[in-house]
Amino acid sequence: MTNQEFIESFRKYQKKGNWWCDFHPLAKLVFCLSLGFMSMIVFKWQVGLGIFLLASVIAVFTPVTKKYFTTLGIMFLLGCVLTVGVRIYVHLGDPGPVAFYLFGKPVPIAAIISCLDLIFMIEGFLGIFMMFFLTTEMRDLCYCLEQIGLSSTATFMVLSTFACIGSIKEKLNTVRESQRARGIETEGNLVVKVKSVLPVLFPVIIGSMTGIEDKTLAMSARAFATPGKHSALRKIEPARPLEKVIAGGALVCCIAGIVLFKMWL
Amino acid sequence: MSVCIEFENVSYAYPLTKKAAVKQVSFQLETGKCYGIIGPNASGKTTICNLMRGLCPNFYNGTLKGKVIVCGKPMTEWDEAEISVRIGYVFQDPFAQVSGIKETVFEEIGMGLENLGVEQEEMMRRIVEIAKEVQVDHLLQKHPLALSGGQCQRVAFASVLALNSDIIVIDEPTSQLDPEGTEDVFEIISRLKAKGKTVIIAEHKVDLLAEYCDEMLVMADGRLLAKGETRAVLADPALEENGVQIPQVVQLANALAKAGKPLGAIPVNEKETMELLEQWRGGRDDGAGSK
Ligand SMILES: Nc1ncnc2c1ncn2[C@@H]1O[C@H](COP(=O)(O)OP(=O)(O)OP(=O)(O)O)[C@@H](O)[C@H]1O
Ligand SMILES: [Mg+2]
Repeated sequence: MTNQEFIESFRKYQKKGNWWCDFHPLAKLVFCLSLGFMSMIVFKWQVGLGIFLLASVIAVFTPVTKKYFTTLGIMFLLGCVLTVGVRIYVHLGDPGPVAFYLFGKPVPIAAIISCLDLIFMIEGFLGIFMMFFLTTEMRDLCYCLEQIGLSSTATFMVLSTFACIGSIKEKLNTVRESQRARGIETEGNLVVKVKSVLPVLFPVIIGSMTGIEDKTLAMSARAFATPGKHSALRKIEPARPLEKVIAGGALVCCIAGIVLFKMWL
Repeated sequence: MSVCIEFENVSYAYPLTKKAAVKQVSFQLETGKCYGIIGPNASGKTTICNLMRGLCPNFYNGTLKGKVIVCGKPMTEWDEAEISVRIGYVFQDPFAQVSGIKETVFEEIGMGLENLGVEQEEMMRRIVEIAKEVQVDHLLQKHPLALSGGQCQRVAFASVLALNSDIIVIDEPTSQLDPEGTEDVFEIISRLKAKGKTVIIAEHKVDLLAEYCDEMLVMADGRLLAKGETRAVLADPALEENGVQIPQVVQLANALAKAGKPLGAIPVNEKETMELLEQWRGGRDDGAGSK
């Protein structure tokens, strides 16, 4: 991209060229929050599974498909092993219809269903939130939040925190590289990797936190304290009617679902 | 001419330190002039800059005695938001000045303007203009955290210039720059002066300071050793006695004066030195009666 093109690009709305990535951040947030909370509050495997499937279908149509499924896959396995193990152990030998026998003791159907409820509640919740964070730029979300009245100090803090996490990651990588240069093993499985950065983890985190004081100064030199609304260089397209409808629909769905499942079922 | 910054018997100590970083300093700076602050390491240059901008004691805490007056108003009455626009401050460490939340240099330079609520069109125009002036236009698309020291310093400079402050305080703007980059920065500074801005620079590169600054403030061990018109200050023998580095051309002039063969004036750059030397040699040749 030439400089001229780059500068011109700020005149237009910022776009990624993918319908879900370009979905208005606030509408997307409402959509995902609604579904996520519905999954959590209703706590039924049918609902959780439904939301999880919806998130997965969306994921297929975005550029983050692979990342989404690997992360969720790992969580699914971890979730299964943990929740299934614990739940079945707890309910082992409970009365009620029996699904199968484990070590000679009956495993009731209710225990299996309760496992499924927990697993899919988590999967639905995590799925929809990961979908949100993988496809939304924090700065765009913050911009939209600022538009509806969140203070610029608050958005700056959010953005700095995320930037801070990024810088910690980067510094740890640097450390790993310098350790490799000194002949310390850093490649290999997770244990080796963790071992190689563990001794410097705390200093790096503390170091990143003290950097915040410098940031305060840097911000003060940029007239950050100026009262009144800040303007923005990046422009985000206002939410389109369809996006508002989808977000509103999800919210209604969430409330209806909670009422339905909690009150009558 | 009007006074824009005034120090009245200012002493300041950072918190948890017994020794004052700046001791009983009094001076007045006039609007539209370019001032250089020189002195050895830890002599208090940065502290003087911090005091002018109100960061000492507002940000660093510590104890301040005396009065700092900016544009006729005591520092204590200035609002942080107002002073940050009135006085642009480029810090000594360029990396500490990157906001960390912008993904391109273009947006980084624009950040101050966003904070002021400048309209997008106007903002873009100003960023492009300043990027050209500071010669970072080829970096606009780069990530601000992926810059070299010199590039970062220029971007930091540009980010502050974007605010278009009347007074600009610059703490070692060229510490990371090569000789060419240093000359560029001083070119920009002379253009700022031409626009009527008051510029205050703390620097170690005395040779260039001497050439561009109207007046000099010399710091030594927290005290103001001398202040005044550049040539007069540099000729002061107290400077060398206190370990303050002075330009080579001035050293030459001083040495000649000491040897009883004065140059006639104190030069501040090579061109002047050559001319003075030319005259000086002419005078001596005539005196000796040769040729
Ligand atoms: N944040 C601080 N906290 C405590 N003491 C400080 C702080 N900053 C500077 N000092 C002390 O104040 C004195 C003056 O420091 P200052 O930074 O003003 O010197 P300087 O002339 O800018 O030096 P340099 O040429 O190295 O930049 C030094 O003795 C220093 O140790
Ligand atoms: Mg300094």
